[in-house]
Amino acid sequence: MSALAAVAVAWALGVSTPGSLPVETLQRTGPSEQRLDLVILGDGYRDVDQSKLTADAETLLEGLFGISPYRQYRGLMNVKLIHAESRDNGADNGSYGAVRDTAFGAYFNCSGVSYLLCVDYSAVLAAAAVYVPEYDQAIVLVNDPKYGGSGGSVAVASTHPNAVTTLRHELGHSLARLADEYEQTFPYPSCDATLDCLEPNATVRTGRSEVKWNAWIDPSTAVPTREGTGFAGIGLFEGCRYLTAGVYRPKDTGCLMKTNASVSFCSVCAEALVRAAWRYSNPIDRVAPSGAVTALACDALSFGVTTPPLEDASWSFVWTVDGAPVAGSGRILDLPPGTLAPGGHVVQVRVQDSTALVRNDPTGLLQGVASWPVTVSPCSVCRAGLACGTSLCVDGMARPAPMCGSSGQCGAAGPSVSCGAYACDAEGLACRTTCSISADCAAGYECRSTQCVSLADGTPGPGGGGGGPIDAGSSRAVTPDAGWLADAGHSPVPLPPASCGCGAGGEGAAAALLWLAVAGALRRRRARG
Amino acid sequence: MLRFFLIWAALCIACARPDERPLADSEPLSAVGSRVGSSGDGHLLITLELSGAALRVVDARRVPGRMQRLRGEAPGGDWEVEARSNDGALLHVARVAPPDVLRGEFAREGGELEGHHLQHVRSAFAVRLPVLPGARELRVVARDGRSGARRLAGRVAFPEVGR
Repeated sequence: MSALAAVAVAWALGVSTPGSLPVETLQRTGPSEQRLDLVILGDGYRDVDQSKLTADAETLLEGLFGISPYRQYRGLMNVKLIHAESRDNGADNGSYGAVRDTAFGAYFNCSGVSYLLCVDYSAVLAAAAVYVPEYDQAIVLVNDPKYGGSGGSVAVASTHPNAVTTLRHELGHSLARLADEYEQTFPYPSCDATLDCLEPNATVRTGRSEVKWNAWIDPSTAVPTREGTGFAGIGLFEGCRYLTAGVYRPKDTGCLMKTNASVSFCSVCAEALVRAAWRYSNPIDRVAPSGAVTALACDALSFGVTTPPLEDASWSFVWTVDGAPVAGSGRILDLPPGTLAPGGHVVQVRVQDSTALVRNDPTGLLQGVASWPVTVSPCSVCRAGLACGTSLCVDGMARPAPMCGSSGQCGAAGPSVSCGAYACDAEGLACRTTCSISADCAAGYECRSTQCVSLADGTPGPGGGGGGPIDAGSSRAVTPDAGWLADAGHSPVPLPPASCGCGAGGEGAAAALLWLAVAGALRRRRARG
Repeated sequence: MLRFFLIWAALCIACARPDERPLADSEPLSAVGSRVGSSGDGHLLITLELSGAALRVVDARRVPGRMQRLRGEAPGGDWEVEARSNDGALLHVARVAPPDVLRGEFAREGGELEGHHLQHVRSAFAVRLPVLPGARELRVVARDGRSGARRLAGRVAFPEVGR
């Protein structure tokens, strides 16, 4: 399909040609391969409404991230906004009329349910694939103040102030597969008695030790637990998953999976959401140095890890050399000259998110492990005036290599300096000074041209200092090797392009135009609910 | 008139170059409407649409970068998307959340939720796969969330971009 044909069809059908829809980065905390990538698509926003779309999306995000555990784990998510332009504002059967011509065909009264807000899901996901191909979860924000929304493979929310509560709830389903805890009168199958409920917050088991959230139940709490006593803790309350009997929930009242009157998840649901977020990320974002190390015994050795930018994070770092614990509990381990004897060694760090929000982590999602093979050659004194180690850049802070003193003793590493708007380089030795993709920038910045600019105001961010490339006179070398961390449980640090080159043009984009155009035409013909 | 001509011309171009080939198997397969992204290294992002038993490729493209590998165990009840070779050999399985679910949950007076659980008549979902040169077919296998029983929900020719 040629681009010309697609454009022709779009024009012929009276659909405004999207060309390349503007994509706005609302939040970037790290590389997409290490993050949960949300994409918001605006529907019912005309040309003149695009600034409102940005404001509405930011309001929605502030609401979403305003509660635990979304707030603490916001740093594991990237968010982009697709500025799809509609001919009309609102949604069908909404505040502005029964029939509206919008980019994704949003309509209330879906399946005869007044508040149920549906869209053309194929069109939404096709646009997301074209413009934000790294997305994990699509959210459609509909420019209509009528209360409504829906959940499923795509979450849909209106601009009604309470829609964010629905979105919090629906993402609980989508991300953590949480069960609804409310009861309904319609017949609904119970969970399999052998397998138990698949959702983390529903069970048919009533023995205390069999309850999947037993770690959250105080030993003094009766199991099952009586409803309506005012007890606000975690127990085992009958009635869940639309059934009044036979299926149990963790909290009597007050969980967002049971009531919209609440603004919080119960501890069990919050725990499941935290674990779900960690499925997309590793507690170790980057390692420094980035590969196997070859050094002399008279060198100082340093190792470090960068963690995702989490609010109020409680990290623990456990370092070992050849399996034996070594002193050092921070993100950088410094080994003075002579610590490692000539020969082969393995330096390892285990990083743990020690949040109080999680008590059950059976598959170790909150842990990351990295290890460095180190080969040490004999050396008694370093060469005066030369580097006796390498520079190190960890977590956006760089420090220069230690230098060998006149007495042949390796000195201390210099003070660390912030990289400013830039990230550490791929080798973990120095700050970047330019960028080619947004992963080259610190959290809160994105790469435009070769500069890291603030997501908040678009101004160029400050450059950093310190570090610098490995000194030519150093006796130490780093051998990059992308595979060496994989066996230790750490995903090698990805450095993907920030945007998809394949979707911006060529057949994919052209075909998308055609597809959207045809979808628009079909939508107009469709009987509207 | 000109508009109808342009529509007709564009659709003819699309029909003349189908992106998917029908399989030899007698079961019906959708081969219309798939589109491909550009080539290159990376992985595949395929958007599928399921309407009854008819599975259609809405969009297929190569995405730069390694495919994100989710950590830990996949949630129970996931559906599976299978990539199979010409002789039916299983090349890769990806798991996706049940795509046919449509939820509407709204606050009653006092905040108690009122749920509406529906099944999409026409659902759309995305799956990521590695580049699979020998792949010829995609199968979507539904799983009963309660019993775990498997059911073939739909099948379609593997998009050209991923072969």
